[in-house]
Amino acid sequence: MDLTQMQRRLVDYTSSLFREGYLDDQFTQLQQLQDESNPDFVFEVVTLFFEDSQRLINELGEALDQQNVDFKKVDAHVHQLKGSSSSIGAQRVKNVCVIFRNYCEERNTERCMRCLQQLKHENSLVKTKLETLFRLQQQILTAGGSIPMWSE
Amino acid sequence: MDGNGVSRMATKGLLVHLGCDVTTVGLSEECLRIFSHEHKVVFTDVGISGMDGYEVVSVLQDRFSAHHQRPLITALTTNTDWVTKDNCLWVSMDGVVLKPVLLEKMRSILLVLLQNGTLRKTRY
Repeated sequence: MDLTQMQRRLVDYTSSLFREGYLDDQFTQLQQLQDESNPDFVFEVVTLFFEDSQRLINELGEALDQQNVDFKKVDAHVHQLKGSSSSIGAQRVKNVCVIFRNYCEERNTERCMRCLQQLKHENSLVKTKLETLFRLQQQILTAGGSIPMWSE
Repeated sequence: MDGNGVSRMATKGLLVHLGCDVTTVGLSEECLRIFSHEHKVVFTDVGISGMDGYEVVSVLQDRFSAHHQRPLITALTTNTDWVTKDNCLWVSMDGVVLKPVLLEKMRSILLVLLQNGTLRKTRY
């Protein structure tokens, strides 16, 4: 595959992530903040997000596994995950968090557990998608090209 | 000041990109410990663990006798409810901004804050 084809593939792939709702404007913003003085900014923030999201998902699992669920604690974890997913533009993860918080308020354990499963699923999906995105970017850089900017 | 590490990193990147010198902290107590007169603007989340953002504002205000000496303090929060906004106004914060903030909006916010000393007549 030549450089132009790789760049085209990246643009198409990135567009699909926005079109399918995995990413929103905030991710575009992170890309805009990356420059020569901060060349790995997006990768670093995204990496931190997935460390954080995995920890929070684990803690949510433990909190919902209790006989007497502490919904305040569950809500606090979901609030954190909502904040961090918003910060990187992980839209689908954020949207699940919004619904999850409503069920926390209702103290509905069963629905909360379903939300947790959905969170695991969406987190895993967006992680895979972003890993692919970074891999495509790295292929272009390795081939001596530059990362094209796309329009959503 | 933001208890969320990812949010903190993203906001720092934004402000650095706009040319600011930025110090980030995750805890209110840390903020109060390291705060100096060199810090002109404080962006704070309000719902963090330990001493909350509102108390930090009160403590910082007590440290400065004259309004022009104290830093401009703005809430940077995901809470859009009127209770949060009311509380921020009650402790005389200079503004409430919803996060995450886009680049151009933050640029505009900083301009208004530094020119007018407040965001309180501006809707963000």
